[in-house]
Amino acid sequence: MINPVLKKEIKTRMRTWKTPAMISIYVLLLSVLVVFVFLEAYNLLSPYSMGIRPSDIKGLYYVLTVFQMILIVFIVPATTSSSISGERERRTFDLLICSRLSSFSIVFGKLTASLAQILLLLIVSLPILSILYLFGGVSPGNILILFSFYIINAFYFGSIGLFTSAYFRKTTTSTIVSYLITLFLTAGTFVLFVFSMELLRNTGNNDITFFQRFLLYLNPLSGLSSILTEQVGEIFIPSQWLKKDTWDTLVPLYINLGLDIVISSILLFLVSIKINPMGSFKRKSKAK
Amino acid sequence: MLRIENLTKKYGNIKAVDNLSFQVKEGEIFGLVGPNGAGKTTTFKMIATLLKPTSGRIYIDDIEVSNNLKEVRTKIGYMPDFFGVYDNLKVEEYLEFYGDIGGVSKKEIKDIIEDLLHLVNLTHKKGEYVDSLSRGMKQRLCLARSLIHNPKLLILDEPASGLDPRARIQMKEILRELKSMGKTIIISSHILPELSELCTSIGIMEKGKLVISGPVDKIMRKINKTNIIRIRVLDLKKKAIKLLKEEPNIDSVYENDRFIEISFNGEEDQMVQLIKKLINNGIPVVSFNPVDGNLEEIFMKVTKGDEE
Repeated sequence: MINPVLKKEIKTRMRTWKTPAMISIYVLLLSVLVVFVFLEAYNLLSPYSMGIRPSDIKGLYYVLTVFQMILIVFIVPATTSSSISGERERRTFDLLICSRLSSFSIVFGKLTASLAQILLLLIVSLPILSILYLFGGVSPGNILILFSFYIINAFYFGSIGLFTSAYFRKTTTSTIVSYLITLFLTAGTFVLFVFSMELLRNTGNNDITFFQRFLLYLNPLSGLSSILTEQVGEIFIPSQWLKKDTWDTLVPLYINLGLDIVISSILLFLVSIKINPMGSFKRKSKAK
Repeated sequence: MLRIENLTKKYGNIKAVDNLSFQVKEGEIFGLVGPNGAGKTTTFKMIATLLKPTSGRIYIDDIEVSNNLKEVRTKIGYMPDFFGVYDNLKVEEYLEFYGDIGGVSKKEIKDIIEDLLHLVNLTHKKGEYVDSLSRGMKQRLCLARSLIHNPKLLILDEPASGLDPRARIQMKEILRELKSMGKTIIISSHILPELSELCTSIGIMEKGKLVISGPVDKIMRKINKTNIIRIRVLDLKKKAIKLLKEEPNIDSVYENDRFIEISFNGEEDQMVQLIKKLINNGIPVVSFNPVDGNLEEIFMKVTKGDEE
């Protein structure tokens, strides 16, 4: 049986103007990017154009995958950061909680509804990605690995959105905090890493520390660069820093995804506790 | 059906509910009344498993609530004082969703929804979006929602608040219907006269404490020792009034075209003696009716209100 919360969420979300608008904008942005890359990189508008070199298709693949990851990472918090706080603001939360549905089922329903939306975005992006097939070099297996990576990242950032929506009463606060965390995990960790590398360089030590590795593994770019290194054959940052000679190219991806899953599970567990009014770990309620 | 033992809820140093104990038997309608901030909603939320008590126990159908949440939640239907609805859901889908999370089987759900919509008089709104309904309709829909999984105990927190007179009457009629169906209901309301007609027993709360509780008539007797009695006589009205004025248990006698109204402060056996005396003196008594006071009067007598 489908989770009732998931069923209801999908139904209500698909009836708003927001979902079709989001899908259209998503496809439009990807299409514009593809057109732009074609026109710009391959100089197609010039009468002296030599046509597309199949090897250059790698560049387009690289740009598309990173761009799609950025879109997903920033769309997911928008769809999850209101899931609990929105119920509270709408005054529907109590009715949900005093049903026989467990807290975990509610959290699971909310998260999978958001993942379903991401899956839909990935599916509608397939025709655009399939342009790459015209030139060869990208296999369906590559796309499958990539999409799995996106889904796990949607799970990761979705859990963050759910966590902030459970711990902050107002959706506005929850959205802002979830975006700040997302920004820290995508850009902040990278900046901190570069900054700490500079510090290390001054001490004459070239090996990166455990903390630096941890910072990079928190960043979805570590997994994506590992995929790209494997699929495109060029070494991308930050997998360049993470790789070890004895390791398979995809090891940083596995560590990155493993860490994502562990962190997400902890966050979802905390959300389940937070939304259960009778939970034994519950803090004392504040006076109204 | 419902047993509350020494229930307390503290917010910091403030006791919202203070050592509350009462019982509601199966099929009873228990009205909880009290001024704003008396702790009614907090009590209801604790019964509805939405708030953890600081101390004390709640038993529903002899099951202790805090350790058996899932089981207890199948036995209760809760209607909060303020609630919202989901946008973009139709009336039927709304009930279907709550049926789903209430564990109602797919086979039964359609029939149950039909019955409930009929009960709350919303059958004609089945295909409309919930957020397009009026306040009164939403209240009725929420009541139908709370009944979807056929709970044994209904917890209705101010079900008639904010409704216009017509919607109030409709809500009252539905509650009467539920009463005749034998549902156990606990209800809080500010519309006290409505509760006096509907409830079998009441509890009056103030500042987190239960000031008084029990069957409505007993409470009325307890508080209102002075009974108002209306006597109608066919003839000899003047003689009757003279006799009544001689009685030590009668504080005042008032007369109008239709009846004589006395304020009687004696016990029931003294009331019998009074009827005998009137008849023995040849007064043609047609009726002798004690007039019920209403809950509003009791409420004002028992609670001190905010100004004190």
